[in-house]
Amino acid sequence: MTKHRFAFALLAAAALSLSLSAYAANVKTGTASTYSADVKAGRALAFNKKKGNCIACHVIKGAVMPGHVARPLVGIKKAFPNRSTLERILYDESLRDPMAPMPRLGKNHVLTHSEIEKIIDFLYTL
Amino acid sequence: MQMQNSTLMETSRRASARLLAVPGVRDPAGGPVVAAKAGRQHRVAMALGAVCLLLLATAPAKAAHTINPEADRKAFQAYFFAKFPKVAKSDYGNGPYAINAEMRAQWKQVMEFPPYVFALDDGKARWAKPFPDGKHYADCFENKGVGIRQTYPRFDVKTGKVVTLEDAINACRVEHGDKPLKLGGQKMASLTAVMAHSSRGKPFDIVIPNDPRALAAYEHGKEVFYSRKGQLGISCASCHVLAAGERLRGDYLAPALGILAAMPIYRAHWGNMGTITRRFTSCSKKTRAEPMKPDGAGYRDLDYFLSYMSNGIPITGPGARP
Repeated sequence: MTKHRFAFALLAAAALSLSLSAYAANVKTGTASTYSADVKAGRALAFNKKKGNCIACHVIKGAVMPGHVARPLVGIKKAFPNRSTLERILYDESLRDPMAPMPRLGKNHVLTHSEIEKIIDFLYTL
Repeated sequence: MQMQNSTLMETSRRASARLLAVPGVRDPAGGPVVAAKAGRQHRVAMALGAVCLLLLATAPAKAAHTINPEADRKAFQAYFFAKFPKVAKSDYGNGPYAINAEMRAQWKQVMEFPPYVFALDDGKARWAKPFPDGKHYADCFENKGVGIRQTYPRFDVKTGKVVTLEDAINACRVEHGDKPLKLGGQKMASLTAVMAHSSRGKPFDIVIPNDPRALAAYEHGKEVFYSRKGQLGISCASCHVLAAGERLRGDYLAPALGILAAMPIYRAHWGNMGTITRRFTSCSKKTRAEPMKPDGAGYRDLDYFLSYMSNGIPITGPGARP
């Protein structure tokens, strides 16, 4: 009886971890079409004055009259290989650099978590 | 060019970190590290404990720092002089035009027929028109109001409050039986344009008397200037100190030093004139912060602080900006 229950638990755990890893893989890469849709949405959010408005201060390829208060957004994947660093910068850069003029986009609810993720998807293509 | 800019930003950020450092605030990360080490060696713990006690004992004295506007002004101006070594002190009243060659070329074209002339003409007519009791604006000011703009805002010893140029104009109207004007309105801009115009070239000469109320107003204005607020969570200093001279989308950010010397301004973006109060209100809105009351202590004291920081910078108003 105990043996049976143990085997069942093991099976359940294996199934759970399998499905979890499948979920994680899906979150990470997505299918090709949802990923490119996220990049497109991320670009729109980065250019939208009421949302990310990144181009107010950063040069991004394709932006008309971008600002140059802060670093140009190129080579992002190389500069920030760790996605969570970008997440933190977009959430509240003043945590890293108290003097930074970067708006507190996540903390002050300018952008939602999923919007930040989409913008990062886009930034990683730059 | 971009590289240079980012290096410049880094340098200026570090410089401002020193400039804007708040006395009495220590790195909170120091605490746990200290505790871990103390666990290891009793003697070290004792020594560290003593140091901590000493720090604690001196902290209150540091927190109650003395308000020293003159030292602040020197540091404030030195920051901009180091950031823009090629810009002459007398040129700061020209804002972004002083720091960018491309903008300066545009400005020369704009100034061939300055867009504020209509406001100036309107202001002159208003200035000459008598009040219901037959008195004029000229009767309210020394030297008939000519060449005195650089001395505003002033501290009023009777009320214990700061009086801006706009406040003084309204006080004059009320005293002679007229209604006060909107602080951010076109009529007010016309009148301050007249007073600024007759004061062109005269350096800002703001006085902060050794009165605790005046010092408190100055300190309050300073707090308003450096406090992060609004949904974007940025301060006046974020843009006009740290990012001064950089481009925010299509606009060059004016340095805070001398920014009020050009007021009131005609902004192409607005299509008409703006007073200091309008400029502050518009800045609050842009950073998605709740604008302060136009006639409240917030903007009044901010005007006092900023104008004092610009002591020595000549008046250039009325101005024209994109």
